[in-house]
Amino acid sequence: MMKKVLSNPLAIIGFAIIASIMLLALVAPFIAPYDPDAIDVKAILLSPSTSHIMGTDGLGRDVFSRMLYGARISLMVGFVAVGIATAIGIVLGAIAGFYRGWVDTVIMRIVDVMLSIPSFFLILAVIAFLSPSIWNIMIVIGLTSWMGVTRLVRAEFLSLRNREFVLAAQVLGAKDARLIFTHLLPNSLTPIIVSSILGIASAVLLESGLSFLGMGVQAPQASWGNILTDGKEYIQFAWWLSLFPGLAILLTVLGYNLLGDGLRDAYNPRSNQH
Amino acid sequence: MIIGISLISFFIMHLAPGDITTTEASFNPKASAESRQKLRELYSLDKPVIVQYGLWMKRMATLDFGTSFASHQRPVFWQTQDKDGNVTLGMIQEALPITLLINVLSLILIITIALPLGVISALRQNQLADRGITLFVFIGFAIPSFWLALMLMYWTGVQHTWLPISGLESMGHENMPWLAQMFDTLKHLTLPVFISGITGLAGISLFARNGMLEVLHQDYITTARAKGLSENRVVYGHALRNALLPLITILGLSIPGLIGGSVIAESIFAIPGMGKLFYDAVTMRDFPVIMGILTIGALLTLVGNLFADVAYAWADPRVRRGVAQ
Repeated sequence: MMKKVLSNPLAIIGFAIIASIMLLALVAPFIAPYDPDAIDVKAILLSPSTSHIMGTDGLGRDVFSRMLYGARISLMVGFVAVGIATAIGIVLGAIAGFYRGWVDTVIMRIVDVMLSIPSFFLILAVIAFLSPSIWNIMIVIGLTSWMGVTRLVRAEFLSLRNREFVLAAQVLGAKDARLIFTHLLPNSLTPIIVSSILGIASAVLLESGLSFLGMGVQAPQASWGNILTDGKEYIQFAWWLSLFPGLAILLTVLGYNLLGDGLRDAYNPRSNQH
Repeated sequence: MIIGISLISFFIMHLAPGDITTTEASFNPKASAESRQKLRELYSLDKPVIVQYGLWMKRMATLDFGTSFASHQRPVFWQTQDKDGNVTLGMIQEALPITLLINVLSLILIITIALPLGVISALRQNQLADRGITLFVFIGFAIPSFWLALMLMYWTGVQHTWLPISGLESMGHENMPWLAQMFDTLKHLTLPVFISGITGLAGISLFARNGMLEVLHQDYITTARAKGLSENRVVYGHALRNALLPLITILGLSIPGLIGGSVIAESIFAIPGMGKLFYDAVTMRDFPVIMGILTIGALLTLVGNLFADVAYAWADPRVRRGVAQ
């Protein structure tokens, strides 16, 4: 499978994009030329130059430094939110798919209900009430995006449940927990990983959208979304404030999507046949 | 189903610290603890949550969503008449048609653009056109819609003044002949419709492409080709009809996303629709309005899914016959 992924140029590009953004976020304190929150009234709205490669914002803060620190926030939100969603999804999906019956019905009804509430409305409402902070955002995005994983895990479990190796293990006296964790879950891991990677992409988009509406990461902490919101005010004479954060979000999401798609193609040979 | 939705949204609202009296008190330093208590009693906020939910459900059953906390007791859902015969329009009543119009227009846009793109892409698999369309699809998925909105606003509205960038009507809209009025509104709607449709556009063209590819490799397509049908008949008569089926379901499922997306599009373009109403209500902690919109949004989703099911039965004779039996 790794070989197939490696032969897919798009997946490689996606991986390269993600890896380099992660690296930049990791070493941000060492390579950021300025303090991301340092206000400099003598350097307001400077256009990109050698001393400020992405220019400065309305408070004279260096945009490049803010972008680097913003990358940390965006990536962290993506990972933690998807981690929460995947954990919930695996637990509920495993229970539904393994035990079936009324437990399955109840869980799937809850999934249907959650899916029919426009999730952006729900997130917005909860965040506004809990006061916006980076932790609340991660938790709320996680709590409102587990439905896909649940369905996926359930479907995998349903199709694996009656396969010979599972039945054999059961006949040999394996307990439910052992069946679930050593037989069923490892065999459904690949689609879960693929959907998590694609989930990170949409969590990054969601976070930036919330920050853009002022319901996300709060100033002075930098996130790509709120750099963009600041930039909105100056769009007529400071294009760099809006252009760079937008491009960064675009690239990150594109990277995750390309990687996730490449992995799925490698895992699911049917989509390669055509 | 609808009960589940209302339960979830109701209890989330009440998990939140603070209520309308906190907001009102912070605007008005003179508000005493006593008057806040009075306000709470007026809105039954002093009763236990279960009782509040019961009261709310009782009114819900008659489609009475109550009145807004924040904007002078305006009815949330539908117009009311006071004893002097003055009609006050409901907040959702005013906002819903605007959002529906935008979403229906973007659905039409999605279908008319995404379907041909997907079909072309599938028919010319791995050729230049397919590569180009795939690239467009990936970028469409990844682009933050609010950023695209800003850039388009700047480019078409500020630099070139081709399109208006906010609201629904120009100044002097009332004095225009009706044709000019319609044209004016359409011009205002162009950007919002495009923005709320862009993600769906990418998604549906991808689905159309994959659906077509799958169908084109089926045996009955080979049969159709083998019996000498023209390529057009094969593609449009046999393949497309079958590829469309899953798309109907996907379109139905994409409705909550479209409605949710309207928050961003509407607040950027200052359009007085459901999204903007919701955003304002959330910042004011206006419970009845929030609850009303969540419930109506979920209802719309259910109606959308129902439409999708009906359309599916209409498009697929197998389902119809299954029903008849």
